[in-house]
Amino acid sequence: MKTFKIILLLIIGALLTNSCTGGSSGGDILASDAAQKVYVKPGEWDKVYWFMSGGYSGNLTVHGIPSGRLLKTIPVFSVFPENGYGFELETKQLLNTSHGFLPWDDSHHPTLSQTDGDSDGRWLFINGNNTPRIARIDLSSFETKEIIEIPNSAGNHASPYLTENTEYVFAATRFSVPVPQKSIPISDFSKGKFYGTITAITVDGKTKSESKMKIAWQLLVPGFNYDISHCGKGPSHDWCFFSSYNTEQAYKMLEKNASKNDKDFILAVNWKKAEACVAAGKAKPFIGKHAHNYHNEGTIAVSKIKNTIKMLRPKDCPEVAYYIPTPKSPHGVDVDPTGKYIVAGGKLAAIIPVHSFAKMKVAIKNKKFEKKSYGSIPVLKYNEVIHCELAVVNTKDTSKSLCFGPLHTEFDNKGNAYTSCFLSNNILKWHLGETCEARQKVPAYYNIGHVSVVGGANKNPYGKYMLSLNKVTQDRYLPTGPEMAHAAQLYDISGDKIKMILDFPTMGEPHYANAIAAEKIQKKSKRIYKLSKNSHPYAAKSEKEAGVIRKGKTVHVKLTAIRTHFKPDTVTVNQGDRVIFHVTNLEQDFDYPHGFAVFGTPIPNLLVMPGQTKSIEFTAKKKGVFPFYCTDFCSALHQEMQNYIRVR
Amino acid sequence: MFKNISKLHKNLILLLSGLLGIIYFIPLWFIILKSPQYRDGLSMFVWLSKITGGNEFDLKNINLLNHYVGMKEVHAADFIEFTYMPYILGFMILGGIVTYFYSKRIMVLAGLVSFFLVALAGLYDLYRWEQEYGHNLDTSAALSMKGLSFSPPVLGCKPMMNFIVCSWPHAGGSLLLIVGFSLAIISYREFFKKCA
Repeated sequence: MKTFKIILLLIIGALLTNSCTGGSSGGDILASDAAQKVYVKPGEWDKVYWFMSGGYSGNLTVHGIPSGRLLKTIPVFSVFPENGYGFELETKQLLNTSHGFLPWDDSHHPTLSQTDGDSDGRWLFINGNNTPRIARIDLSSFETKEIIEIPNSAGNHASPYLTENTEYVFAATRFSVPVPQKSIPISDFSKGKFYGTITAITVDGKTKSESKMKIAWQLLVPGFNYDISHCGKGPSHDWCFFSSYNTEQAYKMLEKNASKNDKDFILAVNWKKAEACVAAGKAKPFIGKHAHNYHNEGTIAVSKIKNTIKMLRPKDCPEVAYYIPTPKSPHGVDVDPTGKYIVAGGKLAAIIPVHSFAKMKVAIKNKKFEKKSYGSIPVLKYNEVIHCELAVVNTKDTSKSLCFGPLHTEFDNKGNAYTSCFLSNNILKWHLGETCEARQKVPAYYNIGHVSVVGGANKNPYGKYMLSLNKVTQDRYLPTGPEMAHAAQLYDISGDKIKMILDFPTMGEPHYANAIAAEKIQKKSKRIYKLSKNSHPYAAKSEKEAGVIRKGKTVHVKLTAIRTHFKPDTVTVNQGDRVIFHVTNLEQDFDYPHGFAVFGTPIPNLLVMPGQTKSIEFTAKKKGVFPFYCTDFCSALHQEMQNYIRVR
Repeated sequence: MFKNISKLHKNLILLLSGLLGIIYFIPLWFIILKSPQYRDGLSMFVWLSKITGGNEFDLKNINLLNHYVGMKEVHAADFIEFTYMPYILGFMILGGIVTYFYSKRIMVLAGLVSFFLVALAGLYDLYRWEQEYGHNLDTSAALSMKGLSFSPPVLGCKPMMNFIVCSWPHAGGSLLLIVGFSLAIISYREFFKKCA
């Protein structure tokens, strides 16, 4: 009986404690005026656009902050039946690769284009991890306009990373592979027969065409697993830093075998040096079959296959790269706003190491190298390059630890750094200057991956909002069966103490998210496409041009849509005909798209914006009379926007 | 009647003629349609010899909305006025210049009278067109209800279905008002005040 009483007391005690601390609501971390801080009055606008990768959805989502509202899903690497992306003839070629048409990829790290170290709001780049690709999204239309495949790479996780003026977009390979590809024993990985590549892509901002990206060169590096990277700024402008894990070169049971080394490496690449070597003819033509796809608005996307790239080997370009030892299996490396410090996130490390760029330069000058080099790349001495080590694990009393599993660090405009701690479910705020000092530990629910501060990877962070992008959701929201939306929490970091202000579900799996002040984008956002600039070969720019063109067994239907009817009114084709509908939206008013769907055909919806032409193809298989209709409620007479196609 | 007008008035009339010349380059009148989803409004500018939209697409969008109620599309080519209005203004400018050289009171009076006749005719014409477009509706249109008409006001604002429609003088119309008013003052001073 006594035991029972004790147990009962314990249970009550536990319940009370739980309710007193507010359970997982965040307790005192929650701002008392949180509701006010995130409330955006109906009809008013958010202050920030936050671009979130969709992970395995292959998409990108745009949220408004501070409200957390979902503003748009932008299809990038995945077909999107909602609006026809990747199905319609205009954008289908964007998903072409050297392996053929690939309707999906795993999108990870959205990165805004930069001018002078800050996000300029022109474009957004995002990587396809599975079959290496980088896409460019135009931020005046919020549409994917260009995708370039990256050859000699596998697992394009370490990408895209930009130099301060978008001179280059960099990508590094996560899964080293035989380069060039060939069938050799997998165990050869451990014999150093696999390679990694660092890819430099130029972006031509001057041309009006959407064909802007080009692989300038690749650097062939030892076969480690390269991971999240960042380029320098200010004094370190000429350099980019790529983290790596599995320097053990294990090819099975990596979770154990790739965790043995006490230190892995940050690869520091002097891209100016590489550029000079390439200009001096040191890079050799190399096999590198890859697709380059782009879509000029008002036309049909183009896909070109290129067969070679320029490959630079470190031995042909001395001083191009150095390895900085860093503990332990880092998930990434970040550069602080001053460009002076390089912070790594060793997910198995007990410290957060801060490497000094200035010390790195001195160490290079004085040749402070370890005995062993890798693939002609010298390894710098750890102690010569380290600026400070922030101890985050308290081995005597682990409950007093600040951070288990540091992954990723972003920065504010007051010299503070914010590191995500995957295992200990928190973000650690610490100050980075002459020394590094811990400041505050705030919870994130649960298993935070990336942390994102507005402009937090830039020269001038905006310094007001921070987001945690979490991997496990569990009880944060109403249950929705076994699959839960990934959770994101928003924090106000403008004060001395971080305050949590919002918790909201996201789409797919946002790995990283990159944010920008709304004012840099909102004014130049397009409202319509000008019909007068539509140069689509099958556009019908007025109802007079609408009609049916037959070429043998192929029937082109130039269909116009305007409130509230299609032209031509009726369409007749023969059984077995290949039918291509080219739907032109004649509207020139903001937010009046028309939709298009045909009964019993394996085609998606087409959502045609004002002034646009979109085409979809199917074979008329069955005889009969079948309806087609507008799928986007466009006017009071939307229901009447319907016609028939007769197959005879 | 045939007494010379003062030098000041003579110069002023030449200046007013010059001001009238500006009207060739600015809109006379505008009609704006506002609704919750058109916060900035859809607008239509009436010039001496053309009709334009507030932006490249406003006129197209106004016509598109109007088609639901069976209103005829507004096209500049349908207004014969645009072919002779520039000449009427030219005639008035010429009158001003002639007055400068033949500066008699009768000329001022003639100018004032013709000015007000033209202004009245212009306003009546606007009213007539508005009635024509607003009442002469295609009965086979989707939204056709007995008793519904869509004539905008000549001056001021009026609610119309989901829109509020306003009609006001634009820069050109305002300039005309100023010129007419100045001419009235000059006439008053010439006929009723002893001038130096």
